[in-house]
Amino acid sequence: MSDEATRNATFERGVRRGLPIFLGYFPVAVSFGLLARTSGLGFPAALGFSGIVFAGASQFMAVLLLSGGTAIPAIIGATFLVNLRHLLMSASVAARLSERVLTPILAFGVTDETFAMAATMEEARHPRFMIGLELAAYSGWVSGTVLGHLFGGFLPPILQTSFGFGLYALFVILLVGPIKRRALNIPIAGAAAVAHIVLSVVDRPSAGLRIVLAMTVGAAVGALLPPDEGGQADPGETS
Amino acid sequence: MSVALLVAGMFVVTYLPRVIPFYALKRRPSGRLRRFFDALPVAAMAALVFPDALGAVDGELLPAVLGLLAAAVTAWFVKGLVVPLLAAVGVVAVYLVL
Repeated sequence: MSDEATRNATFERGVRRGLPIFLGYFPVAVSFGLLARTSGLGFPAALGFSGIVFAGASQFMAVLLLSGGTAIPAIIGATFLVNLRHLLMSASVAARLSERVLTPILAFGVTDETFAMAATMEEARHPRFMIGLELAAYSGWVSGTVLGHLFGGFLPPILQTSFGFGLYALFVILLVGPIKRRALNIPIAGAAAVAHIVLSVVDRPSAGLRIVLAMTVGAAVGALLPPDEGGQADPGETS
Repeated sequence: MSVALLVAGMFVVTYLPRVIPFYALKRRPSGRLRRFFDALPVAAMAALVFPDALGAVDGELLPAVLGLLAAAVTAWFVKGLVVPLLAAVGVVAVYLVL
């Protein structure tokens, strides 16, 4: 890691770079808080889901299953499958970290978005920067949940939907840098996307395993291609 | 209370996959395994977007495609994350308003 990247890898800068994740998480968390309340869950429960589990898709799924009368062990099992992809993401983050400190805290904050952003930033190799990034994400998620539960859907639905869509846009934006830098990233991305589309169409295996398989297919293509010699392209380099 | 049990259980099955790799991977991987992990972020992002993003705007395909295109094109020419993100969000919001 360059000296400049090390100097810039402060906790504070990590938090600031996490702003896009905060913006994406907040409206989605408001929907979650509202959904939790309308499903009959109290404030501590909603806060517990967002603050302790901190995994959006599985939270929505759990609340819906709970309302439908699904048994708790079954929901826990489904949660495990849906969140299994974090295993690979953590392995990727772990492989790039400059030092293993604050691991239990750092590991807690690994989500799709924090993982994706960390992968494209040199500074995220530094634990305190990464934790800053995760804190920005976590704050957005928890504050949105709190406000959503307390005040209901105060955001206009159009803003809610469009900012929620922003999370997908974020991944696309983060893909542009690596693809510009190295054309071989196109088959990797393409293979993963096609794999996931195919698995979704045939609706097998379960949703959580589908994404793990698709990610693995794409990464396997990458393993078969020549190594990536270049440095990491940082899409936010001048911001 | 059963919800407390649910949250506790979900925490365990979510946190363990997140934390175990940090302790299981002691050394930096090399060779093909290294290439696998280097490729993983790009693969993961592509898998996370497709096909789920296509139904994310109330199930309508067109605004989702337009939003993704807006994000990609803006990001191609403009550095940083916030401007392309707002471009995508803006496109989708405008579509929903019209």
